[in-house]
Amino acid sequence: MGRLVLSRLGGLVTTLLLSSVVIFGSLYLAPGSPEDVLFGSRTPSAAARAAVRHQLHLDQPLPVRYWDWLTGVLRGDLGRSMVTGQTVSSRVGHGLGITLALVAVSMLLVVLFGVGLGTAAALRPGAVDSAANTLTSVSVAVPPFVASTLLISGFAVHLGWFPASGIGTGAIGELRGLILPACALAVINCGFLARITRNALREQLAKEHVQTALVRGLPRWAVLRDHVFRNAVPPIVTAVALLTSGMFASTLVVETAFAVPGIGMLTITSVEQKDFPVVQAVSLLLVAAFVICNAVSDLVQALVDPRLRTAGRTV
Amino acid sequence: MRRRFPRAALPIAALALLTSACGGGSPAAKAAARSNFSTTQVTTAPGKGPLTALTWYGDYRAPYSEDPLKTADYPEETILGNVCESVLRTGADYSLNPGIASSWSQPDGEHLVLNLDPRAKFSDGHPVTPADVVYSLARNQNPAEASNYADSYNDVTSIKATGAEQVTVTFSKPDYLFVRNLGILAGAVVEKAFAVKAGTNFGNAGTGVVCSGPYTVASFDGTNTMVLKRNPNYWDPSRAAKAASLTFRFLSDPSAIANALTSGSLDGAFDLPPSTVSTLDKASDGKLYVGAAGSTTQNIDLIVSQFTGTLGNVQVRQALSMAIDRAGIAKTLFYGTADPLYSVAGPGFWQTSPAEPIYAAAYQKLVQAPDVAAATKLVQQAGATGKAVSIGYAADSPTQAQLAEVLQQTGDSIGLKVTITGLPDQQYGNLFIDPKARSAYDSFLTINYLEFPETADMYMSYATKGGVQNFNGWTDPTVEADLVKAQGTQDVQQRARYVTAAQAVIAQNLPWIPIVAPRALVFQNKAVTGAPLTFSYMDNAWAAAVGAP
Repeated sequence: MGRLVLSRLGGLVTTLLLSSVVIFGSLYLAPGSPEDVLFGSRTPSAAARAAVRHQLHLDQPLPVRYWDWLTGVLRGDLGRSMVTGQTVSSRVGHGLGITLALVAVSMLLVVLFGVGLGTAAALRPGAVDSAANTLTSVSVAVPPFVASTLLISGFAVHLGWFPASGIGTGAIGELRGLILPACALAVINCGFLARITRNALREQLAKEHVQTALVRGLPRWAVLRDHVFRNAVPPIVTAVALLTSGMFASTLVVETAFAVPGIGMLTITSVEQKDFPVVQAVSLLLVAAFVICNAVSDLVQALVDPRLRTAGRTV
Repeated sequence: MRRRFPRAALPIAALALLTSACGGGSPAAKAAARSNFSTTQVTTAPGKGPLTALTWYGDYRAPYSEDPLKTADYPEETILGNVCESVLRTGADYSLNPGIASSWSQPDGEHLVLNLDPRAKFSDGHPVTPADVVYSLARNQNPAEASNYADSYNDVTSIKATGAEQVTVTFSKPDYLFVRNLGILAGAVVEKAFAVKAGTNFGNAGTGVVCSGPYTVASFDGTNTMVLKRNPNYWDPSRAAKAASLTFRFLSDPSAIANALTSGSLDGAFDLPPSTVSTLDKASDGKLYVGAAGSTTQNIDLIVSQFTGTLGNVQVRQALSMAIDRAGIAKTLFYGTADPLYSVAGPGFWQTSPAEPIYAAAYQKLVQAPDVAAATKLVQQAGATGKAVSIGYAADSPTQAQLAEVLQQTGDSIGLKVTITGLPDQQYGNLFIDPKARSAYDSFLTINYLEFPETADMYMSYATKGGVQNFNGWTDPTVEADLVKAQGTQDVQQRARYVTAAQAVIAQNLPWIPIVAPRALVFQNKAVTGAPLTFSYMDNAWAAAVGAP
């Protein structure tokens, strides 16, 4: 188990390092430059431009800048925003908390309703199954940006139950502000998870050992718990991990629609402003979210299935 | 003279537009929004009582800097005037009023004498001295500061303290136009000692600024909100802020803006995207003020990038201008909140001027109904039928994208072959800075404005040799001479005659092709009042007057 954790950590570091090179390089290769953002509509004199480029270290060759950035990161210094001059960690920090809360609330909804609906559909063939099937068919066809528009006009503008834009202050206020965006993110994912849960449970229910256990007269709940659910967990956990990491990317759309001041908004703003250090930090956070979600899913599966615990040795 | 950066919006904005259009009939089918207040009304009802908190729309992105000179764009110009006062104060009716200078005079065309108000104090309690004023104004001329208003100081030769409470500005040639720049952020006064000590960090979110305005910056997270608090030491009690705290929020998605206003999470907004009109018109918690024709100095134009391509032929430019259905564009793309524009400096620049009759008569001569047949003939005469014309526009702005499509259809209908290219923010921005970037297109779209209504300044910015927006290098000796004369003329009637003479030549040659002028769109919640209804909110301490009704 320890080896598995170690090998996953090694994978995380390697992935982050490689993606940091790619992100760093692509940002600088794209047309446009951050100092143009600062100069706005004015054509600066060559001296003024050179002074600003020097101040932002844009006059140094790419490998040098990358090395400076990397050594800074290792010392815990993510650099300064080229546009506002704030430290990157302070700009990212606040938004990160909000985005994590948003994804957490949303995933809670997804797991609750997705697994619930999928289980109901798997265990109650017939009317319940067809109803669940119809519901999930509709929900997988509602991407977050459509859900956002519908939810805002229904629950925020007409009913006024939740804020239409931005989040409140204090823990309660923030939570209230995050409910609609979390629902917007959850709708499509609920549908996916319900379908996966239903299929996984159905597959297990049809297994011979399950049928045999039931025929032998073991209590239904015990069979479901020990033979059906336990074996159906791996595909469900994998799906939850993939949906969670995908959700980080979807926050870009939902945070803009609801004006939630999270990482998604920060990403869009800083890409527009070519604020390299901030973009670099948030992009790596997204990469890290993917890698961590997948690693956690592997670890959970290893906990559930002892056969997987030795995987670290062979991978 | 400032270019508006393209409004950033995700595809979701366009989608939201589409869905709302499908649900409520096409925008063209709706009655055009009509102005709902008269041009003589320059503010909403005056604010009477104090407010604990006010939340306002800070426009489409957070300011880059708190330094009043660094970037001249909507977010900075909406907010920073409340923090950093200028030497003079521009009223809601665009009049120049005493600010840090209690009086000013021009003994001759080449000198401007400013007498400072001895009461003026910075937010840290230090008095505003002539040294601070000289330092602040001179920063515009320092290349290292890279002031966005540097071009306004082109004709300034010296800025000197000439008395215990006096500063004199000297010009290289007679100049009666410069003084207006002291009523915008180009004349903003900052505390010298603090600015010198802060060095290159001056204005950064962590360092900030020290100025003399009715508000100070309490907190700024660099991305989502900027909170101002009332300056308790404000030196002029009659203009002290009514709201104890003022929070600006930055939203780019039009439907998010409309929702924030209708649900009360924002108390008010200036410069609203036209697509919010249909939602805000029906709002029950506040009122959308739609200005009349000429209620802003904003102008939307097609800038000719160079005279080497098809648009190098003046007949082709005239033909294209002749064929554009300006009224149709104003009605459909702008939901009726814009007006056809026949000269780049339209009614918004001179409607309130004492010389209005002169300007209006000259403008009337330029008004023309679209005439596709005549335009087609003109293109044929020029031998340009079938020739290619390219237009660059900001892809992130739904309005610009639609406008580019209309221009493409217009161009094609008169025999040209128009290609349009949507550019991402950064590349679009580069068109205004980098000659190499604009050489790839024959023309590009702009939403331009000047902070104050001065026709001569607008034309000088793009139709004279030294103009900061003269991207294509167009010049004409008579225009040059007339505008220099206008600059040196104190009498507004005589100045109007010079300017309209220059305007006639510019309108014939069309280095920029004017298209439409947007109207002021201001929203204000019922719980607050006192906001200006004119473009004067730009660069001014407008928020001080906003209070409880």
